[in-house]
Amino acid sequence: MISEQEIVDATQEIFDSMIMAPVQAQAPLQKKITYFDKTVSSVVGLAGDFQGLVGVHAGEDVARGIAGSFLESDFEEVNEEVKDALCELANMLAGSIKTSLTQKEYNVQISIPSVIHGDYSMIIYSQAEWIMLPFETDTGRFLVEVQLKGNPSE
Amino acid sequence: MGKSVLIVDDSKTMRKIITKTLRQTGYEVDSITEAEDGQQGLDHLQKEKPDLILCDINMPNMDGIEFLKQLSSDGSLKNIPVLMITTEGGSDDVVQQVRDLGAAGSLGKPFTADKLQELLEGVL
Repeated sequence: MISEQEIVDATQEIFDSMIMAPVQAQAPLQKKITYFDKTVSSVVGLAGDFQGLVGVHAGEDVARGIAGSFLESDFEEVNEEVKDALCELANMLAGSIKTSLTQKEYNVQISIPSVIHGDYSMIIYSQAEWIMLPFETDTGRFLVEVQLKGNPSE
Repeated sequence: MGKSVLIVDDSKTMRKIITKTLRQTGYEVDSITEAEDGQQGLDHLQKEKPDLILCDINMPNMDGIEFLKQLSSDGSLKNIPVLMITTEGGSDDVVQQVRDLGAAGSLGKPFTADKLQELLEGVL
């Protein structure tokens, strides 16, 4: 449905063209992470032929760093602007994934992004195809997560 | 003389990025007004008519599609050029839908100043 390379390419393009900061993809995680500590997560829901989500999980320092590059500002704390920047990153990634799926003739809708900050657990759909890719930035590592469940031919 | 621009996007980050990118294109801008959704955009248009509108599609309250519909049905507003900026720019259906509703063009996110400039040249 969606390959790791498509996620890497989409993330790279966003950092190259809009965030203007270097980013380096790392090997995909083999073990699911469901608990996040002092993290900002932005999540966009997917519906239609597939159900699932696109998520970006960044520790507070990395989230501030990404928002700082995005907005050419320094952020001393995780405020609404930092959360909004992470939401926009997830939104653009979800848009790219939707475009990839649409080009494969699937029908997918995306939700408006939402954000969580603090210590929390996130559920993984039990039968979902699951990818979690780490990316290294100047301020540290963040994760891009994609969960997709469903089969349009069913 | 510089132009006036209305940016309609629920994301403060995107409003800032669009403003910055617009200035990088060399497009002469005197004033930029921001609205957080379609309804706020329409409210602003009752007071002032900009030379150009840049509008997101996915927004709470009133989305960009409904905003375009309202604009195209108002004789005093329908001639203002509108560029849609959207995460769904790669979808032909969305591109055609906004064209049918009167948008002058659409730009998929992520985008560069060059891409925006190319679109502006086609509109202005």
